[in-house]
Amino acid sequence: MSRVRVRFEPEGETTEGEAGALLLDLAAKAGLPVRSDCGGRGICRSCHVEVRSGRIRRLDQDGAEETVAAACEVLACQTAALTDLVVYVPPEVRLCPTGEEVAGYLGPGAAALLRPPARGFPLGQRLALRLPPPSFDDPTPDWERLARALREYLGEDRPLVCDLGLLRRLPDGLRVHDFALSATVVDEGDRHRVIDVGRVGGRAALGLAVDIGTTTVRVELVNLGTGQVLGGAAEFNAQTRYGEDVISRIIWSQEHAGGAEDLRRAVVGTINNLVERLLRQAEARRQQVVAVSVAGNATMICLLLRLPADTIRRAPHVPPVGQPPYLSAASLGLLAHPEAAVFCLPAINGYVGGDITGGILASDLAQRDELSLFIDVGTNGEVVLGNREWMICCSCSAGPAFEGMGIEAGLPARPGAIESLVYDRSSDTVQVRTVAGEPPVGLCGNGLVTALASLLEAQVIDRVGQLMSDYPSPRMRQVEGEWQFVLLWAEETGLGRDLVLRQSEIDNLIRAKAAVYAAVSTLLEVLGLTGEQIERLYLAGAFGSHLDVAAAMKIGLLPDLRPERVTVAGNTALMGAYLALLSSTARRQLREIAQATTYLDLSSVPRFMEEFVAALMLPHTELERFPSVVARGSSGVVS
Amino acid sequence: MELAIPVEQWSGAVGTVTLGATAEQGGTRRRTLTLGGESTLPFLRLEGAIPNPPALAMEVLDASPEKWPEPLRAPFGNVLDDPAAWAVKCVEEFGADAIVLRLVSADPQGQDASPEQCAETVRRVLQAVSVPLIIWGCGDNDKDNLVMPACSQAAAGERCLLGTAVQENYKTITACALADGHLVISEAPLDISIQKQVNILLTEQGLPLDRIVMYQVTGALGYGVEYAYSILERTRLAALTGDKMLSMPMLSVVGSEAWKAKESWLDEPKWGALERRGILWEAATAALFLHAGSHLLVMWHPEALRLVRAMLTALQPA
Amino acid sequence: MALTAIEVYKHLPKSNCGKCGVPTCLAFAMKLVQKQASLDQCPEVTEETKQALEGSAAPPMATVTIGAGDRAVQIGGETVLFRHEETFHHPCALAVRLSSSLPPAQLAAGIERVEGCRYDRVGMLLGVDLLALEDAGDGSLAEAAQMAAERSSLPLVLMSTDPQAMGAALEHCGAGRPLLYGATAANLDAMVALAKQWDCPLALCATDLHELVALSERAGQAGYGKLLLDSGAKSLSQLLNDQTIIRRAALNKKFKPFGFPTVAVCAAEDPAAQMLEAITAVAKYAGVVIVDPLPDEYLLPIVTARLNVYSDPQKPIQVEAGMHEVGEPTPESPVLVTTNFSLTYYLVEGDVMASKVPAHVLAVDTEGTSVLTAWAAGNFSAESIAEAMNKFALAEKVAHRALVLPGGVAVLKGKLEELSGWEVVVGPRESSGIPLFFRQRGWVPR
Ligand code: SF4
Ligand code: FES
Repeated sequence: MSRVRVRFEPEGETTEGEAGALLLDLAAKAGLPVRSDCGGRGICRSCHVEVRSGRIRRLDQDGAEETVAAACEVLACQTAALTDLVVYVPPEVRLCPTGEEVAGYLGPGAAALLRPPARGFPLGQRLALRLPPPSFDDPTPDWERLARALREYLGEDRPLVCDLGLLRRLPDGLRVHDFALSATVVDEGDRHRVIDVGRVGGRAALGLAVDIGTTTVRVELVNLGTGQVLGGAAEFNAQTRYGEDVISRIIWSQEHAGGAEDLRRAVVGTINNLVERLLRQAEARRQQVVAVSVAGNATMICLLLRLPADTIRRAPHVPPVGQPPYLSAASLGLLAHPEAAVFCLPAINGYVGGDITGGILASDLAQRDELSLFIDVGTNGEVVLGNREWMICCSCSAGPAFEGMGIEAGLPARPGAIESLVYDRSSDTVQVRTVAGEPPVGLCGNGLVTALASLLEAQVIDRVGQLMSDYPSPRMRQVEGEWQFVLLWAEETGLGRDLVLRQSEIDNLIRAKAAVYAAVSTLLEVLGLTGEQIERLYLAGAFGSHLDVAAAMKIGLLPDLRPERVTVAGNTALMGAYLALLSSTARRQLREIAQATTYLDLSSVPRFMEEFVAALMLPHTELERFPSVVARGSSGVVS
Repeated sequence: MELAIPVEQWSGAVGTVTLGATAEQGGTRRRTLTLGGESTLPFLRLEGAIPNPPALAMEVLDASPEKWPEPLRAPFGNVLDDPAAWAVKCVEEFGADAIVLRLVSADPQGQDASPEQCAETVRRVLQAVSVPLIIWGCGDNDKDNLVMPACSQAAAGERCLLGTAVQENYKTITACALADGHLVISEAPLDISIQKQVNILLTEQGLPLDRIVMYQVTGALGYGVEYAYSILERTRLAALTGDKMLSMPMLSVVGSEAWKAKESWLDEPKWGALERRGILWEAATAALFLHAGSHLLVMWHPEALRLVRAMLTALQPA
Repeated sequence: MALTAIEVYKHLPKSNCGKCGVPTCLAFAMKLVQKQASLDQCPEVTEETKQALEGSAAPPMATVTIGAGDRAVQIGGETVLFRHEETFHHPCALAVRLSSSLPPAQLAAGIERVEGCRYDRVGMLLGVDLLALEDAGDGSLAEAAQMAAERSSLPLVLMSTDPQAMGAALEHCGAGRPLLYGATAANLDAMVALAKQWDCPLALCATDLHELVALSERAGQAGYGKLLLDSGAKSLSQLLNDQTIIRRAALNKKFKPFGFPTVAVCAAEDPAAQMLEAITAVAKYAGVVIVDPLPDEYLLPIVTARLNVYSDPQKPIQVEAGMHEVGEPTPESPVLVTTNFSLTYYLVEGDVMASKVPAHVLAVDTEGTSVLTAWAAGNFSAESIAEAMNKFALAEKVAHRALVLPGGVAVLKGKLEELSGWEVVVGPRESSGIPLFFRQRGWVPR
């Protein structure tokens, strides 16, 4: 295979590679990585460059080959070099040189990136600059000189600020590097702040995408230049020791001396632990972390910021702030560059927080014409319905049953958690699939969903979830006055005891699924819409990316839609935080989403209670709402 | 402007249910009672047929009702401690269309009568009257599950209406009805969805729709009757718009609810004559249930029954 | 067909400026649909929008006021055929009629009695709203009207088909805006003139529905719109039939001549039959129900039925806050605390019953919300429970000092023990766990 040489303008950097290599890769190799927001899929057009001469192959045009005569714009990720080339890289496409590989985001739990990051500036970035040295003709002072260059790059007229320390370091910094240097700039919303200057080609600027869940905190370490996720980690939220749910924590923060500080310290501790671990793995330094974006419900954000959260709890449930101003990492005690910018995803109100606006952003619901439904099942269930014209959301207390809480056999998804369970009536046997193939120790959300669907199908439970006490199997038994069904005998588990589902636990699950479904049907109802009008369903939250959609419809957790309309989206809150980290456009869209989304208080809608009761059947009292479930011939359905 | 009479085109109708079986049908009743069948709203002949007028049953307790106030005891004379004689009086003297035999004696908190004793009472009442019988348990699920099979067998073939199946306890009673050819009351606690759920559970056990009568826990005039009122209205509308699972006839318990209300028994001169108040309260409660769409009322006082009967006549077209 | 919120939204500016008092145009559209807001609250709407939305919102049935001052009653303005669809808005007015030819002393006594027909019911006064005077045709109406105007604060109904008698009576009571009952084919023009002169509502008294259309159209042509309708139904079945047709034509067909409230005159001989007739009229759409001066025991069911039928079905169902007995508890029986949301309460009650252990249940007023909702909102707190324990004198009703708290709010235990001085026992999270919980505690059925 022949070699080709590619020269990148305006720098004139030249690199060599195999004929047929992508321009995207060649640019990175030349130390001039270009943006590739969609991970090189030819979707986002963020990698557009101009080929000025040479012969190329266009992958996005069925591999058509062409010899470039006049300058021609192409996508770097979709264009291969066949001969030597001259390529111009426009400034907006350029990433600061980091020497790291360009990669798309395929973070933990994200089965598919739902939307590529929009264009715009990362929350923090390291920009390579070459400043003209001062002269008698151009005696601009150092700071203004730097600012002029930055503004040109940033192309905005927001003010640029810095603190005294930087000013003190600047003169030396400029001259040591011969006026070719990198500047670290963070976006503070109404202005940019320069927080560091250093040599070109130094360590990359990193950011943290943080999802503070009531139960679990997740952090990803992200290369701000490339968008590459360097690592991700999760841990239980240490606040749990002060209360399982948000309300208990709010009460703790109010009623105990120093309670608010306890909670703040707990969550900051959790985040910092994770950050430390990630930095170690990536062999990166704290100073490199210059931007942090945080998604969490309104209470989690309040507690992180140590704001009084009591008003969230009391009607009309108003949080102290929807979108906090940009803060510094030091003011929050986060392990990062002290001046790193912290962006909190905006909340819609006290019940629907930045985790959900992040989800709306990540699912692209707000940009689409078709009517979409977004469901996030966590400790609470949040539901958003809408399209580019309007959005409405609500929150229902589904309870954490699907996170495995309140169910003895329940577990969060971790190795050994049963992801899928099928009971066979004729052989009286159970088949399971566990996370990582480990011996089963409990059921995660999807395990519970499939178990319920399977028990219904086998008529172990009736349509309202009551265990059939006369079911002919030793698995059906009564312990301490309560009926239970043995899913796995002790020896089949990694626990050494029987894994059972009790009547009260089944009731719990049914209530949880009914609350979610009723929230959906109530939203539709108040707007005068019907379920058939939903063209797309995004499912986020507790189920990760492993929900068995058919089983979820069989028990009536999800409305009956054609499976191809359902996207199991994983942790969209984290994805939203990631997008906010990388793009100012995303941050603006988040604000717009928070402002434009209408909140419906379900407790003010009498209809909700009725919808809830009607949803307490499997799949539903109105069987006609589940035509495909009925058509699939679920047992015993009467016509 | 010409008045175009606004007639609704209903796509469904209330199903019919027949209580009681004659000798040819394998029972011993001389009269059967068919409920339902309307293809229109209550008493509105404008747009559909009303093949069977609402029926009025009277309730007989198998243990003497110690707490009944005098105006309620008076018309019954000395039959209140003999269910069979009581039933006869209801049918022959007061014109009840059916008898509800409520097995209060079975209550484990009370007399705790045995299933055999209850079954014996059922036999006696069946022999004493020729109208259909409604057998109603004591409300204690465990005990009813023992009593109902015995009573059901004792009445095998009579096409009695057995009560009640609730969401938490429907299997035994349904099995009895299936085994002995009876019908079942499907009970719900003032909730149309739960009503439908119980109906679905019963049909999934194999009980056909024409052997189910629906019953929403009632409430009296002034005491929540409006909830039942609207649920009954909605249920009728559901039946008329084609919801098969809500198309069965409905039963309402009027007497015991109305006489619970203070207005029926409290000595309060401002409210008017005490000796008539309970009767009127019962009749007024009954009227609301009839307008809401009930098909079978369970009455206590014969005078209230007479008043309601007269109203039903007045609601017949001239 | 009413517009849906989305359809309304399509007409709004979509700027989410918040000037209407809610944050988004969609929220405003939802309020409009629920009739909790009016279009003029949005300063940004265009004329076109107004026309598009208000055209469809014109009320299909007029609201009519009878009487003047404090005790004036509004009727009509109804928007649905069944109360569950929304609610019935204006309770029908109950009128008691007296004959104008009664001797003065009797008439005075009758007026006094009607005036006093008020029944106290949990903080509400129910009673008769209108005093009807029926012209005996002997020239006595004017005097009777004079006496009624002097002695009664109730708005009047003048029942006469003689415009002259009516005119004379109005001289005495016209300022009180009585209902004129009414205009017939023969006297319509004169009656409309009187109604106009005194600005009174006028009932159209037809002999059947078709004549009623004609009367309504004539009154409309004469430029009068404060109308009530009486189809002249002669039987109970006819009454129900006519009332239904009128309501349906007005609401579903927007049939203008019937866009008014109705009058039902109950005339059955037997008082009980008349009571049932009145209840039928109350349930089936009458705006004014006129009855004879029935004794209290007949009137009380009628006004109670009206209260029930016209109550708002959207309100959450609550049970009375306070101590409830399940089974027949003794001072030794357990005490459980829960909220006054009926679904919650009845679940607890049902499960206590199932346990066969008699018990006391304290229902705390949480505005009809469930345990966790109320707790989250601060309405079910150690303070509010302790307060309810005092208010409903728990300590006097039971001999022990132990209270069972729902497991879901176990966190309240410490504070509640402190505030109440009682032992607080944490019960099951779900009420279905009550029987087992009782058994474990050694509380056994009696
Ligand atoms: S005032 Fe008008 S434009 Fe502004 S939010 Fe309300 S409805 Fe929308
Ligand atoms: S189009 Fe997205 S990286 Fe090329």
